[in-house]
Amino acid sequence: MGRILHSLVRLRALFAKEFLLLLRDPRMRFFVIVPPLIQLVVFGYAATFDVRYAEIGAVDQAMTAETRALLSAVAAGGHYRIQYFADMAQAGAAVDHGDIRAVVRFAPDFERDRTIQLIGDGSDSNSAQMILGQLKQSLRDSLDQGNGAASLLELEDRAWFNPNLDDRDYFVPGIMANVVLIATMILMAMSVVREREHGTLEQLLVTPLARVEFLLGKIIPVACIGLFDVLVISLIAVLWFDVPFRGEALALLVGSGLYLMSALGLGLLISSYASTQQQAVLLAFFLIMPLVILSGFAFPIRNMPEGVQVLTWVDPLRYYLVVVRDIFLKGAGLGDHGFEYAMMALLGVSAMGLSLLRIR
Amino acid sequence: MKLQRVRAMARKEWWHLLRDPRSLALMLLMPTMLLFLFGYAIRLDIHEAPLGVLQESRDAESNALTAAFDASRAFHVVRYFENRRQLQETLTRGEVWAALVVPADYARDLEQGMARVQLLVDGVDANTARLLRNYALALANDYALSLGQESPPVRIEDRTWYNEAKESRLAIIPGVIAIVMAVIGALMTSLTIAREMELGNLVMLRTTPLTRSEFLVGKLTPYFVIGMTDLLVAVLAAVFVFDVPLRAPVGGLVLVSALFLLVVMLQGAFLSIAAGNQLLASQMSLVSTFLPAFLLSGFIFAIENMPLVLRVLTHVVPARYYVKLSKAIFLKGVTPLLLWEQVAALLVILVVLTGMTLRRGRRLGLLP
Repeated sequence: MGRILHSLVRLRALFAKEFLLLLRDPRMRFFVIVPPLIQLVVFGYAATFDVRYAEIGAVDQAMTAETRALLSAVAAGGHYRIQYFADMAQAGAAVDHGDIRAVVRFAPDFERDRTIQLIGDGSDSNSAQMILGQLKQSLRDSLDQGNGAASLLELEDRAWFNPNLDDRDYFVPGIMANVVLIATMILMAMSVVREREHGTLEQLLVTPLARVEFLLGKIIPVACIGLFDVLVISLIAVLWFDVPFRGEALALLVGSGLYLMSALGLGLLISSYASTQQQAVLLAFFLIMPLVILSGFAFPIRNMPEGVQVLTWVDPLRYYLVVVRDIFLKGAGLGDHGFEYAMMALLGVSAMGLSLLRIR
Repeated sequence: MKLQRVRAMARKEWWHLLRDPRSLALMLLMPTMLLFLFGYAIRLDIHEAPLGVLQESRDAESNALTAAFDASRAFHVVRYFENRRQLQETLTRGEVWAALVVPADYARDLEQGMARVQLLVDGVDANTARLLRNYALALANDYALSLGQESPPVRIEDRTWYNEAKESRLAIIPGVIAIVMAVIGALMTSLTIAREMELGNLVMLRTTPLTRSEFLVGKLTPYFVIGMTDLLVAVLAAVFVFDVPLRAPVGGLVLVSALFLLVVMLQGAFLSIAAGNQLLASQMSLVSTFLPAFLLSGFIFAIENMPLVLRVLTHVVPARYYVKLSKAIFLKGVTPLLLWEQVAALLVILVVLTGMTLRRGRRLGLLP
């Protein structure tokens, strides 16, 4: 009993020191708390693959009533602003310059040939595919209307969980996961190595502080900041971005706790390897970028080659993304993601165990 | 500015770098390794998406339609459902990305020339859902034509310039180079000055005739050399490993890359001086480089779709200009002259940053 009490006293002293260090400098206070919030708002608006607006070019060399009607039908959809060009050379130059994303062309012999040409700018292949798909569909629709002919086979499509195919609901929980990772991992990675670089690690080693206490004292304050970020960001996501929150709040808390444990474990591991703060930052970054890219945040994991997919298994962000997206959008509860929770816990425990062995 | 003193400063920084081979190795290897990883990992196009099928009647017509979906490059049938409930569970668990429902009277309706089938897609990943929908619509159209529907009166032909196979890799790799360099450039320099301030080395430099600008130029030169090496290796890997065509003369790419590298290095140096300690400097440079370069540069998310305030904001993200330049130089084969506005914008940022850094540099306490 007495031992635990003493341990708690020591931990409290360490927490006080760490919080003071993290939050003493007003600029540091600002940087720990404000950017995650700004980032969520800014990136929440930025992250969308949907093409709601694009500048496109039109080269109408047929100049018939029909071609003009088709082009104005495309413009009437509201997705596109059409710039007219006299010939393909001019339109091509505009594509080269990046002014327009696609070109709709009616050749002079359109009346006879009955072929519409669509050209997309493949230097952004995703947007090009979206735009070409939409253009085709809207041209096809207005052509069908003109003929009054119905198609032999009608495909009716419906999107579940997200009927309007709104990207924001999908990306905002993901951005939260990224922002929290970046905000906390660097703090963690710098934590032990800073003491080492300043020589204060030796001072701590001569105190009665145990190794485990030392690490807990490092992790918990940063984890608190991380959980604070999760809380505030979730509120912004729901209140500002109208992202539905259909699942259990407790599941979010548990999931975030385990996620922070694994992410901070990795940060701590970096800190135990690095001998200077510069190395720690470079290493942290070397880790953060792949963690983000391989997580399935923007690029679906199933599209990756097998070898790379194996790598994603050790990415805690991968599991957390599944958890937060399902909690927000599909209404998941605490009982739903046993596997993901277990993987995050496993990664966290192994990373912390390794760092414990390395820090003496 | 005296060359001799700049050289001395640069030499000192080199020594410092060589004494920390781990950092140096990270700076030299990281960009290439990240490029390889991302070059293989990032695919936005979809092949063989897992599709579930619910055939309410297993007749020849329904089987033929299912087979057509399975045979396509976009879809791969992995499950046949017995009933709606099974379909719902499987789609909710994410085991299939989409489900095709062929109603019981499909064959009869087809005969009468007005069949309907349903495609349910998992909308959680909206981009994938949209791509799948586009593929399925095109597939259904083609299938109807193959069944002998009179060909529609107007044909629509589409092409994708610069990237005929619509491979997302070609469009993404030039962007990845920009993101990686934006981060590495700023991170390399953001800690170096803060470290001197934190450890008190600057006090010694104050007693020397070294001026502020000499200090900065000398300090940044070695990192510039490392950064350019990184860029060169990345470009070689892009061209020879990932087969990204470099369609314009390489000289233009080198020039704009050097300009971009200078901008991000100065950004790091400015933050380093403004922060004064390594912890804050690293936070600042990470916050101001990675996610902005990733999300606001037009690398994967198109800028023109963003709200006005954000579109204005993207103008201070240097990666925005470089992403556009490198994509155009690689794929479109244009020279930087055609995109002079982008180059000019980078130059303006460079001048402003230099001014800001020198101004802030007063707190270093060196001679002006």
